[in-house]
Amino acid sequence: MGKIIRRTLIIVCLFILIPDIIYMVTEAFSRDLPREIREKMNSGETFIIDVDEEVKLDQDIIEFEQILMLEDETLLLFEVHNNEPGWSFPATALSIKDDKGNNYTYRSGSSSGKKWGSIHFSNYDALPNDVQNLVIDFSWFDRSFRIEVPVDQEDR
Amino acid sequence: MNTQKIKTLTEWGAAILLIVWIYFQSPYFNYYHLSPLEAHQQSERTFYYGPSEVVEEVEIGDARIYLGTYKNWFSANMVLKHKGIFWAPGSGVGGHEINKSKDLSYSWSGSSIDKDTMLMRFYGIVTNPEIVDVELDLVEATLNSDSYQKDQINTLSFHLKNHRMFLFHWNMQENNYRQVAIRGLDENGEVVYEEEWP
Repeated sequence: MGKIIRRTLIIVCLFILIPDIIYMVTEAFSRDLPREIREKMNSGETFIIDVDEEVKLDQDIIEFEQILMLEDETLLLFEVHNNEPGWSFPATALSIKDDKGNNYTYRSGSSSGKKWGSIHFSNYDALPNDVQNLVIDFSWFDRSFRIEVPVDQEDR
Repeated sequence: MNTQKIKTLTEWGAAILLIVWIYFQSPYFNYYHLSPLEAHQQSERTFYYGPSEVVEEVEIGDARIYLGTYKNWFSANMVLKHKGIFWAPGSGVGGHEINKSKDLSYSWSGSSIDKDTMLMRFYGIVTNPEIVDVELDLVEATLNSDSYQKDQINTLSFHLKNHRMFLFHWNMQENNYRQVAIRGLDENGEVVYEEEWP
């Protein structure tokens, strides 16, 4: 009797978890970055600034990965690690400032959902080539933070 | 312990582990709540807003609206009933700035909550202490500014409480209204504030 109960439980549970198991397997083999972004990163014409900064925003963690400086646009790559399900991250609240006093507001962007949160790619206007320092600025109701990003021009 | 016993225990262990896994990854564990207030709080939390001070909870069918303020913002966050007993975030989370230089600040939004209800909410907060009543004039949305008569105007009235927030609501599927004027009235019924949208 016990044998039938526990085996039925295992089978039913596995059945319910089929979508999750498929998701876990495909996730392990999928690449995080969309192909066009990877191509841009590998093209050699893109200047990649490693940001590598983590910010705690309420109960979530925002991980800023890279800023991609392209000829005609700038891409900001970051991850949002959510503590619980809810609203999507307000990417429009992020702006970039350069050392010449220019402010670049969010132009467009995309994101892909993950079990743990989401990966974001936000587009901004192109930055000046000789920029030395950048600031990523977040302003949302009374929440705000700023991250200073030094640009090492010698890496170019 | 013989092998049979080990096998039995392992199978029970696997069954329990799988049940625990299903429970924790289920939205019924971390997204749907038995309490509407908890759904409201989670909605604000994941929106990086508040927590607002709830001044009134309004029940409208399968929706609950939380009138509240947070610092210099006011909001009317809505949560919706799910499967009869659970509650989940709806819409209207996040605040609008209270304009202290005006007698009252307002906002509106509509959302479809089921196939028969397109719930329109017109809400705000009054800063002028003289105002005791707020009135909202509505007409059929199909009527142009110059094509409706006085008698086609439906006026909704709201008597203010100490918290000074107000909420008007109607079902757009039953009454396809649009707002044409808002008034603030003092104790004597005199119009202290008026704004029109022709």
